[in-house]
Formats: sequence, structure tokens, C-alpha cells
Amino acid sequence: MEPIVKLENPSELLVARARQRDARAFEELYRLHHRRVYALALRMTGNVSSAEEVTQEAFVRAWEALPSFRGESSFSTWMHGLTVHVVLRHERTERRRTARVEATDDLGRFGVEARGARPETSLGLERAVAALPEGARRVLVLHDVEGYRHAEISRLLGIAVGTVKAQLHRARKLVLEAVK
Amino acid sequence: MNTYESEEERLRALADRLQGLPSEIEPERDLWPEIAARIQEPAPSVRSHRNRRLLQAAAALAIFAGGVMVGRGTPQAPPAQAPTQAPAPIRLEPDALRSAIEVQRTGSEYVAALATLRSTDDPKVRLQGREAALSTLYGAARELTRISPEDRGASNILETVSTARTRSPEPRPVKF
Repeated sequence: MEPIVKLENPSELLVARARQRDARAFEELYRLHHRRVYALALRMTGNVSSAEEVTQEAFVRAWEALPSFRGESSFSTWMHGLTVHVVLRHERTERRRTARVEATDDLGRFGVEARGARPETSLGLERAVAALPEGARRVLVLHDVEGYRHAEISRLLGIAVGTVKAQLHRARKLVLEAVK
Repeated sequence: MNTYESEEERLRALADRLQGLPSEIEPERDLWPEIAARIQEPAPSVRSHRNRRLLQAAAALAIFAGGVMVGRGTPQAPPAQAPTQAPAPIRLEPDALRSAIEVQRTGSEYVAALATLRSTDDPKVRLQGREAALSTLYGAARELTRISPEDRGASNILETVSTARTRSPEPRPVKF
């Protein structure tokens, strides 16, 4: 039987319930969106444990902020922006706390875990992106993978648009060198 | 094709490949249980803040009482030692030690019993609990001032608890 009310986005109903502090609805939202959040976190941080921490933190923050979510953008877009902020904050904290740990072993997991990935072509690329210097990697992921514009990245990272472009150019060159 | 065009081509191809990367990746472990635990923690409220202060006072008093009992049982304390020396272990008379342990144990039970009051939403029960807690605190503080009348800390506790007993637990003004 056809449902009487069709929801274009299944997240809408879940968001409405989660805003009323329904933890089960929020878990459903998590199940729908966590892979997207984790992919962004993994590419931006370059290591698995940070990506896990960021994913968890992002969803905890989302739960706290849901009552003020007005639905002007989709939940997915909202969650995406929130994750970027959590990544940036996480990296600031990490930098203060300890020197960055290069977790090269973690990179091998990209190809196998990526849903719909073609390991023979994407694994090398993922490795090359993860091996980029932090600043270059963030700009490349936000621009070339996530589709952010120069000005948006400039605002998010607090750097000049010219710096964003320079970082992007440098990142692309480095990746090209790596996958040659 | 010259070198410039070749690099342009390669950059364009790279951009295509980057855009084609999978937008979703499955984490290797379930991250939800930790999120669930964190979101189910109760948010701190004004009331719990007040309770926390009460519990802190109770805990402080229990520790203080333990300390006083330990002090009572200590034989004549030696004169001040050099700051670099480690403090000598306190040797207690068996009776004093038992008393100190008893004070500590009952103090912990008192705090634990108070903590259970947080789980009730019944204002009547909370009020009764508050009164009982304050009476106990008052009694303990009075004993402390008897044990060591010169102790200003003990006098302050007695005074604070005494004032708290006479005040209403809900001092917030009504807003229209």
C-alpha cells in the first residue's frame, strides 16, 4: 500500500523526532549519514583514529544542536558543515597536544572500505591525498572532493582566497607526482 | 601536444578522479555505542548544580571529619619538618584508627545516599531528603566545633549549614 504522505527525504521525519529528544530516531539518522561523515573526516584528518573521534564528536554535537536546527538546509548539508568545523577544531587541539602521528598503515583501509570504490584506481589516489601536508590536504579535499568554493574554504579555514588557490595548486601537483 | 597542455590534461583528469572518489566509507567499527552513551548523559541543570554543591559540602565535611578524627588519634605531632622531607607516616592508636575509618565509611554512605536523591523527581521526597541531609550536616558540623573549637573552617561550616536550614530550597523569584 502506498504511504499517504510521501517524504522526499527520509531524514526529515527522523530529524523531527530527534529534535524532540528521540534517541532511536537519532540513531537512525546516524545509520543513514555516518558513512558520509566518516569519509569526510577520514580524508581531512588522514588517519583512522582521528576520523573515528571526529565522527563521534560530530554526532554528539549534532544531537546537542538539533533543537536549533531550522531545516533551512538538508540535514546532510548541515551535518557536513558541522563535521568540517569539528575536524578543524580537533586538529587545532591535536596540534597543541602532540606532534602529528603519521599513520601510514591506516591508509590501506581506504580502498577496501570505500563503498562502491574501485580499489585498483582509487587506493593510490587516496594514499596520495592522505600523504599531503595538512594544509594542502584540507584544501584539496574540501575543493576537489567535496565541491566547496574558494571563498567558502577561505572563510572556513581563516586564510586568504589567494592562499587557498596556492595550496590547491600545490596539492594537485603533489598528488600528480605521487600517482604518476 | 606540448608540456603545458599535457599538464592541463593531467590536472583535469585528476580533478575528475577526485570527484569520482566514493562519498561514503564504512568505519571499521561501530561508533554508535559511544555516541549513545554520551548523548544519554543528563544535561546539568540548576537543580543538579545545587545538589552538587550540597554533595560537595557533605563530602568535604566527611573528609574533614575523617581528618579531624585522624588528628585526634595522632600522638603529639613532631615540630615542623624541613619541606624537602617526605611526611612521616601517621601512626594511630587502634581506637582512633577505627573511629577514623568509621567516620570515613559512614561519610561515604551519607554521600552515596544523598546521590540517590538525584534520581527522584518527586519534590516532596527531595525536600525531605534535603532536610535530613542538612540536619545530619548540622549535627556533624556541631560535633566538629566541639572537637576543635578553634577551627575557623568548622565554625564556618556550622554557620553556613545553620543558615541553609532556615532558608527555603526554592529561592527563585516568580516571573510574570
